[in-house]
Amino acid sequence: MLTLLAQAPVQPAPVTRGDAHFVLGWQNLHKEQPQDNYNDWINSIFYGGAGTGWYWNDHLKTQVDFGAGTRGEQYRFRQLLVNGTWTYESSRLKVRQDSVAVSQQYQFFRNEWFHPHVGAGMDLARETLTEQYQPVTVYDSTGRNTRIITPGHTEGPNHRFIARPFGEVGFKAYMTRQAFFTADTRLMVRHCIDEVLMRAGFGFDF
Amino acid sequence: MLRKALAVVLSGALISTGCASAARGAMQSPAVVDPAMMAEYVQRIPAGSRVRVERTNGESMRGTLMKATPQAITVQRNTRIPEPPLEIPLGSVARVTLDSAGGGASTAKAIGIGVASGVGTFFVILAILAAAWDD
Repeated sequence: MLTLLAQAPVQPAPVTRGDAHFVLGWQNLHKEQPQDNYNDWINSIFYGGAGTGWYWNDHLKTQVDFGAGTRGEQYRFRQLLVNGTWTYESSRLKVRQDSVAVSQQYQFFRNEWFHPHVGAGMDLARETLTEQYQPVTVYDSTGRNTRIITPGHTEGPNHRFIARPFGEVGFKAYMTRQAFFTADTRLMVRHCIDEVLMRAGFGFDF
Repeated sequence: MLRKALAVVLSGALISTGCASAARGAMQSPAVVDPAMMAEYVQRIPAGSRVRVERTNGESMRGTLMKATPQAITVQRNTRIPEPPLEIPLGSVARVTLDSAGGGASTAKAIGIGVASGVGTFFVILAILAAAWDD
């Protein structure tokens, strides 16, 4: 047994042991509207994050990322029928996410200046939701006046944790032997595509 | 009818020109290289030349020729982190060509990094604009 182990080919150490990076990005969240009237996506979110990765060999890397987005807002609208009269309820949903993600990546090529990669992992996000409702009014045709049937109010902030699998594609483009520019795109999936995150930044190998 | 005729003509053209040939790999099997001729040739290449080495197993590599003997060549691969030179037996070498694109490779690398940085910067600016846009 020992002889066999001694004769086994020795796996060479990976060219890179680990890396760290800082990124900025554009976060797009899918928030379904209560009625199918408007855009279901919140696109105006600026993202910042940092992460580190460990190479098991020249192609397989496990990466951990921490990130947070700025607050995104979505205008929401519902049509209501109150005592035979149509009215509407509108609200503004404010969303913010802090997240930690663990992924396994496959990096193409070995010891080159440009390395594309694909990966998959799990993203755990702490979501903060606040929804500000406008007063709901209805026009009373007999009294010829408008009355408030539901006063304006705010729900939240409510916190919840969501875990979503994701897939990603990206690359590392080295500027020096150890410093690189990196960019990737992640698609988080829940019932359908739940988030699209595009990131770019700089990092270094260690 | 016209469609059928056209399909037959196109299929015939594909087969006769070899575009759809399944035996492509077999047609491209490397020819046997005369070892003596290869040894004489590689020993005439000056040490320090940038070369492209194609091996009989289909692999290829770019690097700097360090030494050439009648039995083997020693090449250091062009890598980001320098690696120990590789000794390649001439029996496994199918072709050695001078890599005149050495400067071109670094130019391509610079262009690649530039494009990548540009794309990244574009997305970052887009992200900032999108985040600043108050809908």
